[in-house]
Parts: sequence; C-alpha cells; structure tokens
Amino acid sequence: MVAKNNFYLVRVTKSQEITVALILANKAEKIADQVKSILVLDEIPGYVVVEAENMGAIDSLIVGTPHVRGRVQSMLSFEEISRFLKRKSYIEELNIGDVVKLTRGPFEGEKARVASINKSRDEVTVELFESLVPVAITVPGDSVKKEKPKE
Amino acid sequence: MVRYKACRTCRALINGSKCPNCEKTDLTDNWNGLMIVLSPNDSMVAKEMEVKLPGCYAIHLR
Repeated sequence: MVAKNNFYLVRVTKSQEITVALILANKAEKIADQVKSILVLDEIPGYVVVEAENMGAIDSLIVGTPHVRGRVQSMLSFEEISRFLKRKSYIEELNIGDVVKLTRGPFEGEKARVASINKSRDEVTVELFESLVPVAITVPGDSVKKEKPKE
Repeated sequence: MVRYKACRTCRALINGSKCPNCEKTDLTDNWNGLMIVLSPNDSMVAKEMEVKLPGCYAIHLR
C-alpha cells in the first residue's frame, strides 16, 4: 500500500533542471525515506517536482543547493502529475485524410491533414492547411489530436 | 545527462551498452523527462510508471 504523498515544485535556474534533480537525489539519500521521487518534466521548464510526505523534507533538501531559486508554496496533486507521465497517443484513432490539430512543437495549434501514418515508429506525416505551398511534416503520434468534424 | 541512453524495455538511464536491470541491449538516446526514484515501494510515481527498482529513468521514449 502506497501512502498518499504530495508533490512540491522547486523553482530552479532554467536548463539546470537535471543538474538540480541529481544534486537533490544525492542529498535526499541522506534523509532516510522522506523523499520518494524527483521528476524533471519537459512540460514544466524551470521547475523540479519532488514527491515527499511533507514540506519539511523539501525545505531541508533545497537549502544551499546550487541553482535552486526557491519553493512554490502550493503543492500539486497526483492527478495533476500523472497526466504528464502518460501521454496519450491518438495514432490508433487516425486515418489518412483526417483533419488533426498539432498539440506540440513549433506548429502547435495549427490544423493539418494526415498524409501518412507510421504506426511502428509512432509517427504521423501531416500537410499544414495554413501554408501556401503544401508542406509535409512528420511529427510524433502524441503531437496530434483528431479534430471532430463540424456538424 | 545527454550522453545517457534509455533502455527501451524498462526505461532505465544507463551509461553503457547493456541495461543492468533487464540485461537487454535495446537502447535509445531519444528520450525526454527524468524520473529519479528513491523509494519505489512508497512512491506513487513509481507505482504509476511500474518501476520496481530505485534509480534514474526516462519518462518518455521515442
């Protein structure tokens, strides 16, 4: 039975998230069993997520740690964290010719039409609607979401 | 951390050519998100990601 832990956000210097996570993990080993895990999520740049039983463990952990700029007062629930852990790939639901919306990357928010699907590599090739010249781009399967047809 | 590779089976991050956890050689350097599990039996994240051993893991593999 896993006890209910809380998730605390530690504010760090951008691009130093992994360095800080490794330093914190090293320090956490000395605080027996209070820190359960440490996460660096691409979706939350500039922060390291620490799973711990209580706030006291985090405060003693971050004191004197380089690149740490403080701790966010509020905490996150497991439900908020778990949606970053398992990304849903919509590739199984897609067919060639479907209209999709790009959900990640430089073309985020753009609509496109599916030109080809590579299920084994979890990649989709799409043609952007907005571009004057048809441009085919290949994106990961979890970067597109099927648009519902307008009634 | 960039030079580390992730095992495609257990997602462990390793600095060699063979995964010490599952002893497989199917590795990828195309990964993102880092998860350091310190206490796999008590961690909700470890349970969600089905991690049984402490260590560094990738969250997403390509």
